[in-house]
Amino acid sequence: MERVQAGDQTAYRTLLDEVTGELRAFLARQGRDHAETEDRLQDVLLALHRARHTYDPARRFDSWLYAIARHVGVDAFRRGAVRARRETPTAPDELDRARGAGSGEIALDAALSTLPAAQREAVEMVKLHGLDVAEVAARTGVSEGALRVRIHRAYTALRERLLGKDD
Amino acid sequence: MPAPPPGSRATDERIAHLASAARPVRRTWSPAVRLAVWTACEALVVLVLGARFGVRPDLAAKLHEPGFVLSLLLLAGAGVAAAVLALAAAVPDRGPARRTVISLIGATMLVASVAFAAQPPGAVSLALWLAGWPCAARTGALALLPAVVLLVAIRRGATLVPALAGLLAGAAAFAIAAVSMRLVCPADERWHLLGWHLAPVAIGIALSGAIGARVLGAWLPTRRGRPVSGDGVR
Repeated sequence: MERVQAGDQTAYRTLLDEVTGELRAFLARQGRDHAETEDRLQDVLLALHRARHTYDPARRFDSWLYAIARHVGVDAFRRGAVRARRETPTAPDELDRARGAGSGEIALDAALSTLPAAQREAVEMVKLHGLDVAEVAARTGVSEGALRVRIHRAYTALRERLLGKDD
Repeated sequence: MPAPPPGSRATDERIAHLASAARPVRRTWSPAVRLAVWTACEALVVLVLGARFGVRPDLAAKLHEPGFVLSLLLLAGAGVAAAVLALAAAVPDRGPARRTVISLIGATMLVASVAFAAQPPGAVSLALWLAGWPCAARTGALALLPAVVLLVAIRRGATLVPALAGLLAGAAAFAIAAVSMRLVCPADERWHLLGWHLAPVAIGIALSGAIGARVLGAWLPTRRGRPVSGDGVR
């Protein structure tokens, strides 16, 4: 880690490769599915990168690393749970209802196709493919707040198309 | 050969990206060095502003009162302890437990409350009481720079407990400011001390905690905010 702090890219690559397996197992033990485990793993690696200047070689590396891993894992899980509580009562149930109603999937696909491209992409990535909002925001180059607004508008439009305005 | 876990390719890409972004970083100073720097800053502020405000005329006599001296020592000790914990909180594996922070701040407020409430009530006129507002302003002035210095020092680290670190920074700066104000202000009246000396401390600590919660965790990938590292990797 001292070499990493000195800017040694080879040492850094080796270190990241070495800790990735342990971190993946650590995060998986917290009951995440594979996709979320990988998301959290990438968050931990990024946090490690941003905090690397705080590591003191006189102290244990494991303590430093797992303090970050525990916090980032728990923090992300808590935020994910809060997000799920906010979002579950509205659109996903309705999407599921639409999906389960005979030709629902066809109707959903048709409804999705009528959305503006940015809204359709946001809904597909977050709700249909289960990606993390932060990750999608990073991929699409918008803030998380803007992404949530985009998803909300998409839900509103989908609800109108699938369930009617009087629902 | 077993299939790689889903998403592991993206993780491999992340690792490659991070490794390629490796640059020399300046290691964070040890908490002891940072505490020494902060103490020097705090001492400078107290000396400069103390000289400007002037010490209370009966200070020599007050320093012979055990209760007065004890309350000041306890408050100053709490302030230094808060500063130590705040600076430690800037390092991921040194962050204090929530109960430690709450106990320290609770004890600090309790000591100050008891010490101030034990004083005679003093003026009963609202107008006279309101005239004491400069003490609140002076408390804020004494605490401002030390609190900012602590918050900046924490932000240059990587705290995992942003709100607690902010509370500790506020507690450190405002506890020392409260001590300084007891050496400056000659009023030993209960309601003046509670309203214009203690309340600003409570407000300052709460404000610092709110600022900490907002800005000190911006480096975390799971929080909103801008990265603090200048390496271009979010």
